[in-house]
Formats: sequence, structure tokens, C-alpha cells
Amino acid sequence: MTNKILLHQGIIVNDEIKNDALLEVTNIGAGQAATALSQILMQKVFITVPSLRFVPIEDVPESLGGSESHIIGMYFTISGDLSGRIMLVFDKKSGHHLAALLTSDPKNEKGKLGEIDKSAMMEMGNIIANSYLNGLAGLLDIKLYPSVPFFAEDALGAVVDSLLIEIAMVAEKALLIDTEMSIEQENLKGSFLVFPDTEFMKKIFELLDLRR
Amino acid sequence: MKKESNYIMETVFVNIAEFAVVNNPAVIETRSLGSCVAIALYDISTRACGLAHIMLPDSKKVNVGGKPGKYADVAIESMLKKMLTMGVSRGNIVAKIAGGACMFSGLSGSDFMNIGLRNVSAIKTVLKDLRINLIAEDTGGSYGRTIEFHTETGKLIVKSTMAPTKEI
Repeated sequence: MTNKILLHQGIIVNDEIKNDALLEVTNIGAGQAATALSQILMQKVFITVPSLRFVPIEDVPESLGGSESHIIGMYFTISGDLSGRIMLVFDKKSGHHLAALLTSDPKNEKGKLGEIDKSAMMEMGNIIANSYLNGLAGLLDIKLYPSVPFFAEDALGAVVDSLLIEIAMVAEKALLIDTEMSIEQENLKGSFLVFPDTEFMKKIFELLDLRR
Repeated sequence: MKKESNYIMETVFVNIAEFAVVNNPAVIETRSLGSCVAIALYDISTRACGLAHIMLPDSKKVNVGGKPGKYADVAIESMLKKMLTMGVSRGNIVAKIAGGACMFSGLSGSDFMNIGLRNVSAIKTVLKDLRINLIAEDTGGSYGRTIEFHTETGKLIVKSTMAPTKEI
């Protein structure tokens, strides 16, 4: 995944101020999320500058690394003053390694994650998503709540399609904010993805007084 | 019969929200179905086949366009139309479906969870209205599926990283 900013069309096109504002807001949320993860694992966590992409729904699996790749995914819906969806994605190796770190049980790295690993991952996901939303909510002085985490381990395309179906009911393209998290020492990588609803963007611009 | 090693069968890939129709020997593949459903329409005598990777049950219930394979109703009707122009006789067409899983086990009861089931039932309704027999299905569960339809044999192979390979 890249940290390039690729924009095609839509609400944020050709508007650098709005782009920068949105990236900055997202960056603060992602920073909080990374800090939380860092505290849980007591390791340095690096994040990339978030990238903003407007992708046709059917191209989302490819843009996330291919529909066939085996991933561990956690899904949250955002409610409160803004709505949208959060997805945490780890490739199989990173996900299993992370579960092993969380449970202090190195046996977890092969096969499929067990129930204890799953609940450790979901708890971690919960903390990351909450930190992200708290960062955003604090900055914008609004209220945001994540749902409970939903967990799936499977091919990427299969994991994200239900989320894409939800977006497909209202739009042909999905706005995707992508932040990559990595722990170099453990050779571990994951993506923090946010799929904001259209209203999400409008409200953020309103709150930042960037209506035009 | 030709030995398999003597020739390479064409493989046609169908992306999400798309469909393909072929009337020559081929393998039609679509990958990583979660709540989405793949439907194969197959003519038992000419071996022409259409395959769609469907996302949503009904084009009339939402106000968004998209590719012709996105909605169950549009996808099935478009495939049928195309097959009929190839000289397929309507009465020979049968259907097989796979997919419609619920990937997130925690989402019980919500609409979101039921989207897989709703896709499956929408497809069944469309097939019933068009009087096409559904002869095999592998739907539901909580795992992703990659499928291959072999037009020479009419077999639908269902592969999954989480379950053993099936043939329906």
C-alpha cells in the first residue's frame, strides 16, 4: 500500500485545502491509534501518512492487495455525529504474529487463529478503533462511537465484500482512507482503513469551517 | 475423447459485479465470494454458460447504477438474453449457485448479516419467475468461496481456504 495521494473525482477533487484538512484530521486519529497499539505491545509503532483514495467499489479488493490474499480482518461501524466504517487488516503472517504477541503464546503462528487469539485480537482492535475515534472526536469536539468488533479470517475479497455491499447500496465508488501501521522490530504490518460516508466528509468540512 | 494434456482450456475470469457468457469449452472462474453470490446458467445440450458475481438482490430497491452483474435481477436477465442470442433453447437452461456467506459471525440478526441470505433468496425468486431450474447450490456458512465452472462437464467446483473443495 502506498502513501501517495490519489484522487479521481468527487467531493474532494481539486481541493488541496480540503484534502490537507482531511488528511490532518485522519492523521491525528491514526496517531492516537498507533500510540494505543504501542502501549499494548510496548514496542515502537510506525504509521504512514494516510492516503485518500476514491475507488470504484469493484476495484477495492485489488487496491487493498488482491482478493485472494489470506487476511485477518476486523470490522467496526462508526456511529454518533459522523458515520462510516473502519476495517483493520493484517496479512496472515502479521496477524498471527500479533496474536502470538498479545497472548504471549508463540504456538499461534501456524494454522487458523483460535478462540483466545480471536478475542485478544478483537480487544486490541477495539482499543485501536476507540483511540482513532477519540482522536477525531476530541479534535472536532463531537461524539463518535465504534460498534463492537466483528472478526473474520479468510480471503480478502470475501472479508471485505459485505462491507462493499453496504457501500454499493448508496454509491458506485468508495472513499478509502488508508494508514499503514508497522512494527519494524517484529516485522509486522497492518492497515487501518476508514470508509467514511458521504455525510462524514461534509460534516468534517463544516466542523473545520471549510464549507464552500 | 481428447486427452486433457493435448489442449489448454480457456479460463475466463469474472470480477465482482460482472458477468460473462461463453459458448465454447472454457473454465469460468470467480474469486473470493463472501456475501456475494455466483450464479451459473448452463445449457445442458450446447454447453453454453453464463456466470455472474452478484453483490445485491434487487436493482429496483436502490437508486445506484453499476455494472450489469451487480444486481441479481439485472445479471440473470442479461445473461439469459445473451445466451438466447447464441441459439440456446430456453428449456435447456439450468442454474447452479454458490456463495452468500455471513463472514462476520458476531453480526447475528442484523440486515447486514443477512445480505448473503437475501442475495440467495432474491436469486431463487428471479429463477422461479423465469422458470429456470436451480439444480445445485452451495450457500451460507461463514467462509469465502472461489468457484470454477467447467463448461465441458457442467461441474461447479467450490474451493475455500477454510473448507474442503466441493463439486456440485
